[in-house]
Amino acid sequence: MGLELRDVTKRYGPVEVLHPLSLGVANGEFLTLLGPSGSGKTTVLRLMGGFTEASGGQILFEGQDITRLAANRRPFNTVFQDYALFPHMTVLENAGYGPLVQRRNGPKTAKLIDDTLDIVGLSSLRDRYPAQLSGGQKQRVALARAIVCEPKVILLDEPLAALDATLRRQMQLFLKQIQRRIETTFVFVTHDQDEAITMSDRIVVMSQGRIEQVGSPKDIYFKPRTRFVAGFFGDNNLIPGVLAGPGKLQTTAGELLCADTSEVRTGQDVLLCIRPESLKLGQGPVTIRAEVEEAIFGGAMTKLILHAAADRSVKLDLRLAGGQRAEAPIPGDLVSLTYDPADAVVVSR
Amino acid sequence: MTEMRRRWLIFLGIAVVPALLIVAPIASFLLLSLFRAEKNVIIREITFGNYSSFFGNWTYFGTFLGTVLLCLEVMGVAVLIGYPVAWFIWQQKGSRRYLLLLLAVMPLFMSYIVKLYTLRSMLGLNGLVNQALLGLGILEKPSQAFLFNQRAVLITMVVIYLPFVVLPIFLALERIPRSLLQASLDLGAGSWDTFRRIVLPLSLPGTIAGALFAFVLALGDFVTPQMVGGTTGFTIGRVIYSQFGLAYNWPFGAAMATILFITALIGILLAGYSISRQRV
Repeated sequence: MGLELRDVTKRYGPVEVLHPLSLGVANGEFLTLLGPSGSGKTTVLRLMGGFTEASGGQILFEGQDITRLAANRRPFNTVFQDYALFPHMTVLENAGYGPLVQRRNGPKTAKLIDDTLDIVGLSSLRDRYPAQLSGGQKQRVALARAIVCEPKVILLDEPLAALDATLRRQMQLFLKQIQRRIETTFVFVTHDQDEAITMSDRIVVMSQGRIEQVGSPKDIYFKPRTRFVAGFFGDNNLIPGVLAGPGKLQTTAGELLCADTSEVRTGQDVLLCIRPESLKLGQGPVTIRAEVEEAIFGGAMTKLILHAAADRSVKLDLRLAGGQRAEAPIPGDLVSLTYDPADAVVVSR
Repeated sequence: MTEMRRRWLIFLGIAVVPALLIVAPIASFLLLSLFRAEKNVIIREITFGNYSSFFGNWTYFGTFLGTVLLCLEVMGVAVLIGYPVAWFIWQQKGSRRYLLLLLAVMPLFMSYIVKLYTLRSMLGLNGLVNQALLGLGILEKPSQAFLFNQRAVLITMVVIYLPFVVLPIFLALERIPRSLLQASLDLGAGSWDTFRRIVLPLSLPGTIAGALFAFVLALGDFVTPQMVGGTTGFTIGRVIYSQFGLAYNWPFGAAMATILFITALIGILLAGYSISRQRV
C-alpha cells in the first residue's frame, strides 16, 4: 500500500468533521473521493497534502509515518481548485517553480520542464501569463507544475469544477491519459459522479465525515451497500419493503424478488434498488403494476416516470431505447414492469 | 440629441467640480509663477525670471535637492518600518488582525498638530526618548540630537506618515490568495522562498503606493519642519511659506510651488509606471 490513512480523525473545536477513517491508496491508482459538500472529502485530501493537521490517527506513506510532516516535505503535490497559479510568473516560470525552490537545476531539469509542458500541450504558451490563459489552459499549467516535481502522489481538489461541460469532459479524458502516461497515483476529489465513474480505478463514496463505500465504479454502481450510495450514485428506483425470506421482499408495490439478499436479515426494513435501465415494460418472473405519470422524449432515450399502482408514493423511473418510442405508453396508462432479480440490490433502510 | 452629445454633456457636468476646485487653482499658480514682484506689487508680465533665479541660486536649489533627499529618506525608512508592521498584522488570525490594524491606523484619526506637539515633547531634552536612553544607560546626559534639526524632521515625518504606508501594504498582502501560499509550500518552498518569490512581488504594488504616499505627503509638509526642524531642518516647503507669508514675493513662491508640484507628479508617474509593470 502506498498511502495509508489509519483511524484518522479531524475535529474543529467540538465538531468532528471526520470520524475515524481508514483508507489505503495503492501506487499508480486513480482514486476518487466522491461526496456531496460537507462530506469531508476535501478534508481528507488536505490531510493527505499536509495542509490540515489530523486530530487523531496516523497517515503513512510507504510504511513511514508522515502524520506530522509539513506539506513542503511530502512527496505529494496538489492541484488546487482555483488553480493557484502565480500571477506574476509566466507559464514556464510557474511550471519551473518546484525545481527552482527545491534547488534542482541543470539541463536535466530544464528538459523535464520542457517535456512536461509538451505533455500537457502548453509548449506554445510558455511565455504567457496566467491572466492570458483560458480556464482549461490554467488547469493544464497547474497540472504541469505538479508533475514537474515528480511527486509520488498528485492530489486534485475538484480541479474541473470551474470548467464548462464540454471542456470538463475533455479534461476528464486528458487527466486519465496523463495519469496512465506518468504512472503516478492520483487522488481526485469531486462531487460529480459522472467524473468519478469515467476516470477512477476506485471510488470512495463519503457522506457526513464517513466512508460509505469503497469500490470500483462498477461495484459502486451495481452493488451499492448503503442507502446513501444507492440514492446518491446515479439514478435509482428505491422501493421500501421488508425482507420476508431469502430473496423475497414484501413491499407496498407487491411481492418482489432480489437474487442476493445475504447482506440483510429476514424481517429487516430494506430498500430494493433497481436501476432505471434494468426495469423493462412487460411480464416476467416478477411483475410491478404501475401507472405512467410522464413520458419524456429525450432523443436516444425516452424517460418514463411512473408510480406503483398499489402505492402512489413509490416513484419509478425507467428508460426506453429510442426505437421503442412508437410503442411508448402515455400518461395515465396502466403498465406491467419487470426486471431480472439478479440486477436488483437490497440495502438496509 | 445624439447619444454621443448627451454623453459629452454629462461628462462636462461632472467635470465642472474638479475643474473648478483642482485645475483652476493649479492653472492660476502656473500663471502667477510667470509674473514678477517688485516691492510687494505683482507685475503682470510673462517672464521665466523666477525659475532662472531658483535654479541659479544654490540657497534655493540646494534646499530643494536637500528636501527631495529628505523625503526619499522618509519614504525609505517608513517602508522599512511599515512593511514588517503590515506583514506582522497580516500574519495574525481572526479578529486580532483587524484590532491591530485599527491600532496601526489610529493616529490618522488624531489631529496633526496634536501629534506634532506630542512628538516634540517626546524628542526634547526631558522627553521620553532621552529619558529612556538615560535609563538604559546608553546616554550619560540628555542629548539635543533629537530635536530642532533635520533628523528630528525625519523622525517626526516617519512617525506621522507610517499609517499611510502600513495600510496599502496590508491591503496588498491581504489580497494575496491563501491558495498561492499553500501552492508555494506544496511545491517545496520554505517560508523564506515563499516570501521572496510570492509574497514580496505580489505586495509590491501596495508597497509602491505606500511609499508614494509617504514621499508626496512629506514633500508638501512645511509645518513639521517649522515645528521640529529648528534652523538646520530647513525645507523647500518652509521657503515657499516664507515667500508668501513673510517676503510677499508671491510669483517666486508660486514658481517654487510649481517645481514641487512637478516633482510630486514625477514621483506619481514613476510609481504608476512601476505598478503597471507588475502582473497582478
